Amino acid sequence: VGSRNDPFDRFVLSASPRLLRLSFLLVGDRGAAEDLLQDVLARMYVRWPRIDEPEAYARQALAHRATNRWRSRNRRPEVALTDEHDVPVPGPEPTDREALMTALESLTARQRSTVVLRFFEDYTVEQTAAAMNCSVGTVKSQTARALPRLRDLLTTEESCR
Amino acid sequence: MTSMLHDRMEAATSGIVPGQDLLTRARHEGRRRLRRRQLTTTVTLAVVVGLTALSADTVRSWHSTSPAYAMSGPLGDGQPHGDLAGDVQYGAAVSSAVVTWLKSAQRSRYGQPLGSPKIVWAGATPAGPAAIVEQTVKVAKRRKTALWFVGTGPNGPRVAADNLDHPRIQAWYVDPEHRVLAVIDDGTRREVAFRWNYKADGQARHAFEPLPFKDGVAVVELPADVQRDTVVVGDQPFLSHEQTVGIGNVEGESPKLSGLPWVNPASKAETLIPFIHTGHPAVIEAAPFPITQQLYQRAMQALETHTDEATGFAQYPTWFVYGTTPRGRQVIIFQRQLASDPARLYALVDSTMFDLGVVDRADPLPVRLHLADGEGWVVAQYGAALKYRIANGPWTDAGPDAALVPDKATSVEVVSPADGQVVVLLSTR
Repeated sequence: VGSRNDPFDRFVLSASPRLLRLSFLLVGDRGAAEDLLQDVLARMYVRWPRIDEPEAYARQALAHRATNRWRSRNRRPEVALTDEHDVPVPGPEPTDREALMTALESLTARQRSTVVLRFFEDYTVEQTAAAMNCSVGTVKSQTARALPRLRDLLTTEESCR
Repeated sequence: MTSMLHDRMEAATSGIVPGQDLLTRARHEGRRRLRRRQLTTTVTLAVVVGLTALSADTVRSWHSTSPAYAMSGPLGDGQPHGDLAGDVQYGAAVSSAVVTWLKSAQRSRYGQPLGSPKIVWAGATPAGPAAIVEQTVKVAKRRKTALWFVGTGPNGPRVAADNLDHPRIQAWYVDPEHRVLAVIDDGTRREVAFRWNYKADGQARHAFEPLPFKDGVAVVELPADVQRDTVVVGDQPFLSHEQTVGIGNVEGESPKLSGLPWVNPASKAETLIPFIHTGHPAVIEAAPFPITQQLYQRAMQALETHTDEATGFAQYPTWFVYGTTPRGRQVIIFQRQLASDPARLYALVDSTMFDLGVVDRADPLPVRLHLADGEGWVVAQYGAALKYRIANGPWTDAGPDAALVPDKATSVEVVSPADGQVVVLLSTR
């Protein structure tokens, strides 16, 4: 029986807001972000006794699954169930969010995960490499390719306002 | 560029909060995977040790049926219920709505419908007619039977939710405005609570009340002052969030945050705001009891023991005003918001909780805690310079952000970028 005193429940209740934001940046869709996070949390539930650092594990799993999401896309399309499920996301002006999400969408999945981990989670190059299970050099090269593209897109968008 | 990127990503996600039932869904899915893994292991072992007596028919039946929801309670007798159960025209419209739904873009998720939809309940509600439909589908080579909850739409009956993935979903809002709630009677004592009740000792509990079940379903209208995200349906006695009954068409609530936005720009973790002793020269500074993790754990533990198990959105403490009084009492002040209710301030003095009331963002001195035994006042306004005085005496500097001022202090001067210079009178409210 779960409760707020259960370590897994405590972890979900305390960490899920931040993890959902990370997931949203990784996949760009609110519903898909929650699905992805739920999937990762369910996997963690199964492995919970063997997970030492839940938050780090969750971030790594989110990045990994977001990067490899295309593999399962054809099995379960991510479309809203009905318009009742289209919950508007409060926050900044929609144009700001849309511009950022459009810019992130223009990156490859790996570039996107790299950028989000490095500049949203403030991961170091080494931490990002560990989370993405790749080399430091790969993180650097992915970052070097992604940043100019983001700069171009976001600068263009600002100058058009 | 990189700091701009960080800021934009923070801003772009600032209003995103998890759905009401994320924890329940994650646990449910986790348990299902755990059972599947255990079952797979068992079956594999059985095969390895040569238990071939497991017949092909047994294996086939295990794979072929996997009901998502076993109907129990008054609706489990196989007969249609409700005052519209015999309405052929409405029944046809409901069946059509479900079939259309199943053949829509979600087909890959819902699989292939097997047989015809079976209406198990249809009845009138204040929002119009509603129905529950049982339907078997074939998903990934497995048969699953689930319930489809039908409400009202602009063009007649409309599928509002289903419980294919989450059998604990047994309630739904009939109308698109989500003011009329229908709940299945599954034979257990099932009740509804519309709001949180807050008490001075920090308790926040739901007050459950009976549901008016009739013909296997209860229909209730939400009181006008109730936000839907504070509503909880639960099996009684309500001891665990697992007794929460899922409401199918409420997901992803994103309430407006009304707490004090006290964020230390240098840290993404909790904002620590130590209060400085003034007027107590014998005590130079607060005892170094708190570190972030300890503060967080103590606050969370206090909140948990004072809050019932209904899951839902909650913004947990993100800042702490803390310190030790001259008599050695450890004081922590923090805020917490439940659902779309206003954020509230709490104080933990040693192990005793106090509810300090609703956060008032417009208050130039939003944190004011009068300590017992003449120990003074803990006051705070993050980012402000504070001074205090006793009656018409001289102003005494109390430092930045937060302070413990003497019990005899009568007013505090707050100088902040937002409010400029404001004098706040202290009084025991």
